[in-house]
This record gives sequence, structure tokens and C-alpha cells, in this order.
Amino acid sequence: MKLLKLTLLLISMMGLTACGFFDNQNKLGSGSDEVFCTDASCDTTGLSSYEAVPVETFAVLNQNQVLKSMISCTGLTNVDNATRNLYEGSKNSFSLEGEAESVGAPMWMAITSLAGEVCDDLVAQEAGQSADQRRIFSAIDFSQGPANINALQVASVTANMARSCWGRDASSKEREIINTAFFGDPADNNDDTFSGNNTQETRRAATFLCAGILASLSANQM
Amino acid sequence: MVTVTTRITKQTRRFAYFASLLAIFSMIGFSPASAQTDAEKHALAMYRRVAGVRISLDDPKISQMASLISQGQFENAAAIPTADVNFYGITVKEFAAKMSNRELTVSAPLTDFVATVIGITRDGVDAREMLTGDFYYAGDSGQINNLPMDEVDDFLKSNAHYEAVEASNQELVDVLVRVDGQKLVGADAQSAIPHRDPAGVITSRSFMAAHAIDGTNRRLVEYSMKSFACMEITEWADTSVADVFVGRDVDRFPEGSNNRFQATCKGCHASMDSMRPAFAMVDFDTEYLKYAGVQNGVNIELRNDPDNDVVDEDEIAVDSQGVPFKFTRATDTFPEGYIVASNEWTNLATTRKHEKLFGWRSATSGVGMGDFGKMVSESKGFSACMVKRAFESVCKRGFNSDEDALKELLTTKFEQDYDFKNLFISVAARPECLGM
Repeated sequence: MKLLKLTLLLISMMGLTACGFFDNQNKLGSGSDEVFCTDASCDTTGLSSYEAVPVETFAVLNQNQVLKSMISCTGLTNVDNATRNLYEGSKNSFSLEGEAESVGAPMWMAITSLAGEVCDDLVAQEAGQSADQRRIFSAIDFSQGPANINALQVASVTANMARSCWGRDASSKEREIINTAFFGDPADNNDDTFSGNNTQETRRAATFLCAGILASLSANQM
Repeated sequence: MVTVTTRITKQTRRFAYFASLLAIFSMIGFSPASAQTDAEKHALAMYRRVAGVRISLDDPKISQMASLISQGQFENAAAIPTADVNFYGITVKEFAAKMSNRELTVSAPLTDFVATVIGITRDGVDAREMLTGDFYYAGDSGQINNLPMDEVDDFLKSNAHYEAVEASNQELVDVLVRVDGQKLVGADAQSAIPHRDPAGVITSRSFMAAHAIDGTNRRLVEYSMKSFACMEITEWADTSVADVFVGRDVDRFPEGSNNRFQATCKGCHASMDSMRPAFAMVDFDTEYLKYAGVQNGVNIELRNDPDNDVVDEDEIAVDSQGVPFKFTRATDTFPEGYIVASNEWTNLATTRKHEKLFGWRSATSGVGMGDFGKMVSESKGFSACMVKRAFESVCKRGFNSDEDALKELLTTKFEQDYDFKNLFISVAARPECLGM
């Protein structure tokens, strides 16, 4: 019950932060009058003194972009049919044109699911490669159970995923959140950590780390 | 007891998994911290807006772009992501899709229209040929297994070929090939013959299927201006235009008053109906485009039941002029109205207001769809529209009201070579676009 309340609280937080965070300036599709000066009185020399005014806009990946972007930033080369089927089945949940106003819980749930599948595929791909060939999980030993995954290895995956799919390094706060999520909260006796010697659990742990970053706002922003 | 504990642990782990992910969503989204330089940040933004996908900070292309940006070579930097397959598979595809369907949405399947625009962009074909060319782009059967390639069944009577290209999940930039010579379904409904009046994507199956189906072919004029000149009909409606070409099916006394016609209806119809004859030979019926003079014409006016225009698949319903019967519906509404007897047309949207809106620069009269496409493609309105669409695609916003000079600058630049790829590069290189 406690965790259910926490989940609902976080969904509400996400909705509120989405409303407050995004800059809705310059709604897509608006345009000024299309009027051209075509007669002799036109002065085009004014263009040389035109001063550019930078305008930053916000957009999210739309339904055509979301899977391809996940593939692009992770370096995934073999996309499972299950992943493609999930994508096709969820397509209507993703943003149609990437507008800020389209961000909402159903969209993020769909992105989360898709990120999980993409990361599953990525883990399968990289587990079959030598460490020096991997883009994301170079520090993970897939032949061992998750009990062997330490903070340095988690930091390596975090750094690789952040630079690949966020385009930047993770902040100290973000690393702290990820560590807590992965290793568990000491206040809860680390009850929910990945543990044991099961190699399948190692793959789940790797998927967990990957999906958490791949499904985040920073990885889905245009 | 052990079993219950295990079940609870699995459940809580599932919730924790979700909660953790959601926590990351809500908090990581607005706590950016970066070791990247400004030039790298600019390069990343430029890449994802042009290619339509995110890319790793450590990709060599980013450092290459960042170096160029640091030297002020913004266009050279913006050119790099145009080599990404996703530039064609996402950005250009969506740019084309928005012009291709009635809903003007990016969520549209691959069609001959979209494939042709992608091909034009990839091959550096003059963008004006998008509305005048006698060619199209299709999937390469040498690269895609089991690709439906029947000219009639898979290209002219259905979208099967393009659906299969899309389903192959291969990169469009790699598998599209140019095919010279558009086609029509022949008189026997089974063979393909050379198109009699090609006009680029205007005469694509998908554009015709969207706008030449049913109706009176006025939609073809309206949507040509909407798609290729970015003009809503309400913008170019003008009651000062003479109503000499307004059809017989338009009531001159709606609700008993000619004033209503003069004040509103005439504004759209006077201009639109003057160009409608450009499409006087075509009717999209029973899944393919029929062309008067190709299919056997059945004169509906000789029937006792004037509302019954149903004909066989290899026939086209026409009137006594030989023009598709859709031009002759409801002619008793105003029998003194204009009779479309051929595909000769004269554009009356040439007032000073229209000149400022469209910027016509070539003949404003002609015969058929090819001449119509030429008129639109050579107008300044076409160039400005393509600039507007590219700007919205890359910059994720429309032009502000104080950006007329920027719009003019980009339009002038586009008209130097009419190259779509260079247009995207020019737009992405502008500081107004990415805010950097």
C-alpha cells in the first residue's frame, strides 16, 4: 500500500512538473501572414542589417521518432519482433507531432514499456559481445550474478547511457537516484536490490539501469 | 510463510521498478548537469532536429560538428546529420507526409507522394519538379524480397507496393529508385499506359485518391494551394474577383438572396472555380484514377436517372462534353453558370492581393494539370511554403510575426538552387531556429 501511494504520488508529480516545466511558446504550426513584396518599391537591402534573435523551443520525440531514436542512441542493431510489435501496438500513445502539450502519463507509460523492450534487446546484443565492443555495458560481467555488480560498474553503465542518450554526463543527484534505485534504500534494508548468482538476474539488472535512463524526459526530448 | 514472503518481495520489486523509473522521469528531467561544451550542446541539438533522432555525445560526428560550429561554419555542421538515414526516414518523410493527405498529418503511411519527395531530396532534384515532373520513386525489388511490383494492381489500383516497402523496415534512402514516366490505368482496366498529363506529386495516386474522389474536383485546387503554397482558402478568398467561371452547381441566391452569394460564396468560388478545369479530365473512382478519353466514357446525361453515375470498372462517367460527370452535378441550380468543357483554365486569383500572397511568376493560364503545377511551383508562394514547412519541422515552431526578414532571407536562399536538402541545412544553421 505504501509503495502504491508512492507510485501514485510520483505519477502526480510527473504530471505537475510536466505542466509547469515546459515552455509552450511558439505553438507548432502557427505562422504569420504570407505576404511578399514583389514590386519595385521593395527594399531588400534591409536583410543585411537583420539581427538574428535566437529562440529556443521544446519538443518531445513523436511517434515516428521514438523507437528510431532509442535505436540510434543505444547503438542497437538487432531489434526483436516483440519490440517492433510493442511499438506498433503503442504507437497511438506516443506524441503525434512532438508538442509539449502532448506529454502525459499514458505517453510515459508507453515509452517506459518500449524502453524496457529496447534495453532487453540491447542487453541480449551486448552480452554476446566482448567488453571492448560494447557501447553501454562494457563494465558488466554477464557470466556472473548481480551480486557481483558494484557501484563502479553501475556508474559506468550510467555514464555510458547518459552520454549516449542524454548527450551529457549524469549529475551527482542523478547518479545518487540511480544508485538508490539499483542498490535499494538502506532505510528499507535494501530489500529490493538485485542479488544472487543468477545470470538472468544480471541481465534484468542491466535492463533496469538502461530502461530507467532511456525512458526519461532527457532521452525523449527533441 | 517463505512462499508468502517471496511473493511479496516480487510484487514490491515490481512496484519499486516502476517507482524508480518514474522517480527518474520526474527528477532527472529538470536537473541537468553537463560536462559538454556549448559547441557540443549546439551540435547535439542540431543533429537531433535535422536527423530526427538522438545521438551519442561521443559519436565522432558530434565532435566534428562542434569543431565546425566553433569556427562559425554552421551550414557545414548542419550538413553532417543529413547523411543520417533517419534524415530521410523521419524528417523528410514527415515533411512530405504533411503535404500528402487530407488531414495534413505526419501520421500517414508511405505512399508514392512521400517516396517521391524523399527521392527528390536525396537526389538533389529541382524542388519545382515536385509539381511538374513525369516521374516517381519506388522501392527497389533488387533490395526488398517479394516486393509487389505489378504496375496496375500494386501501384495504380492500391498502395500495396509502398506498404510493402515500409513493412520491410529497410532504410528508405537506400531502397528508393527513380522511375521515369508516370502511368495511368488503361482502357481495359488491366494495363498501364503513359500518363497523359503528369504533374509530379499532384498526379500521384495518393494525392488523387485524397482529393479527386467524389466531389467536384474543387478540392484539388483547394488542397494544392494548402499543401504547396500554405494558403488556406479563407486567406485567398476575394469577392472582387469576377464570377465568370463559377459553376452551375453554385447557388447564386442562397437563402433567397444574391447578396449572400456576392458577400461570401463568390469569394472562394470565383478564384477556385477558375482553376478547377485544370482537373477536368480526372476522377478517382473504384480505387484508381480514371482519365476522360482513356476509359470508355458513359454519358450519364443520356440516362433517365441523372443521379445514377455508377459505371463499370473500365468505364468513366462523363457528361455530354466528355468531361467527368462530377463537373455536371446539380447543374439545374444555376443553369447560366460556367460549363466546364475542357481542361483549359485561367487563374483569376491574380488581383493585387493575390499577387502579394502567391507571387505568381509564370503563366496564369494553361491546359491541364501540368501547366497548373508549373504555375504553382514557380510562384514565390511555393518557395515560401517549403521554407515554412522546413522551418516548422526543424525549429519546432512557426515563424513569429517579427521574422518576415528571416523568412524572406531563407526563401531567397532556397530559390538559388531549389534543393530541399540545402533548405533544411540553411534552416538548421540559423540561430533563431535552435536558440543558440
